[in-house]
Amino acid sequence: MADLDHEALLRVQREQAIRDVIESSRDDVPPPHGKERLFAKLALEPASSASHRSALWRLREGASVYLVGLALVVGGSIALLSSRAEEPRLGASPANAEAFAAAEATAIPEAPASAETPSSAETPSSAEAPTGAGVPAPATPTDPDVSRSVMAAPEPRSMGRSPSEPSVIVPTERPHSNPVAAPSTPSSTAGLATDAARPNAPAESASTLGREVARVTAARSALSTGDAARTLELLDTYESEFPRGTFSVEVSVLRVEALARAGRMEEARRLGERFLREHPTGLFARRVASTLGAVNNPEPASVP
Amino acid sequence: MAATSEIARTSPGTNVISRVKARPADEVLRAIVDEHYEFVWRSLRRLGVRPPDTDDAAQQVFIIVARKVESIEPGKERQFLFGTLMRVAANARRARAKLREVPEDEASDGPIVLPTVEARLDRAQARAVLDEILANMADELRVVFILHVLEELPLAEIATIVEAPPTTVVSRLRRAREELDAAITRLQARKQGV
Repeated sequence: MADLDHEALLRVQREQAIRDVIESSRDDVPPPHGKERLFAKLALEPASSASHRSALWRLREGASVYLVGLALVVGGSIALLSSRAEEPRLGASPANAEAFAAAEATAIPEAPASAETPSSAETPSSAEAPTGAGVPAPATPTDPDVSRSVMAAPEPRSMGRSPSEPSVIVPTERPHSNPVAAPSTPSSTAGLATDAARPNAPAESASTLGREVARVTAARSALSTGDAARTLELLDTYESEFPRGTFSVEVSVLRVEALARAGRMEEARRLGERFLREHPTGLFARRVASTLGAVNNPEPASVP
Repeated sequence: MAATSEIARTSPGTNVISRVKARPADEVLRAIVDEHYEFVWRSLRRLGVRPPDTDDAAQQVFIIVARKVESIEPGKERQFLFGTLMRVAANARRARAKLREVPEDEASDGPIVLPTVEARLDRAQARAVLDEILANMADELRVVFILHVLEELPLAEIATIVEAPPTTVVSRLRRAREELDAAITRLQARKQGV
């Protein structure tokens, strides 16, 4: 009898081990930015193609397609934003909305100005310019995310306007300090001001990405050593530092796994189920589902 | 830089206007990368190409794809990719073997034991076991096992990819499963001290 029990135990154990071994391949995924690196290597531009294209259109076809181009840029930068924050969070959405509003504020009053002859529209802006220049300076460095997102919008404007519209009136680098837009919201002036700071932005976002990668890697290796508490700590740090981080999806998955590992099954299940509602398919979903499966049947071997 | 010249070769002219227009070859390549990148990476990984080599190998695969993108028949992308990545993986394994006299598996051979029933196999351990089992499998079995058990592709598609009749695929799959079972049993025996 004891032999039979032992045999059954071994069989159950073996089946579990096979499942574990096969499951272990599920979360062996490429590095989060591997695809981007590959696109860069192949000289393809997956995310920025929209803004790139619109800038070129504008150069070729002039101001008539301006709105279309700008819409593409704004759409592109918002698509970029939303793809960065694939996992919608409460903390992230106001910031997103703010960036959107900023982009919109610069876009909408722009339309009549470029359609009319510039001379009459821009006359009052000479008075506006100095005040506009004074306000935005402190705003830009504080929120790198906003400046990064908004910077995409003004770019083609500064490129495309120079041949058609004389910039005699405004001596600053921001020729379109629009009389309507400038006083309306502080964020629109912040958006304009980033024109000047634009050359620094790519370097800054690159180093941000480096920091993000480092944080996620640290969390992942903490989890792989089984230190769930440390993992959760690192994930908290990541999310407070990068509320709309590139790896928010990855981080959610790690959090579910860390919670399960820490024995906080209820939280793991709640978070995991929410994740599965938002990301029902894909490798990450399978990963979460397999974690939840383990949570729901913590003791599969206890079946006689 | 090599990739840029690649593009120049596939699409005539690199001035602004031609870059603005749609480049079908590029669009196809982009779609292939988008859809199959993860598949390629995972397959390479399971064929024994370990990080950090996996990323490089994946790039090699897609550079080859970029060169031949116009000759890939629509619908046969995965077949082409898998054929390519098998060769890249074999090369990468050879290069790695030349680099190290001692195979990496030796290191993981000792400490892997099956834990007790309550404490399930840790993920890292489980993956080491998987790597070891796959490394010891014959190529034809390993490929079928990866595509069916891990990638969950239908048998018909696997038959196309490996260019073998479905019955052959099924029997290879059965043998692969038997090997997995046997390997796990051996690990179990090791734990029991038999």
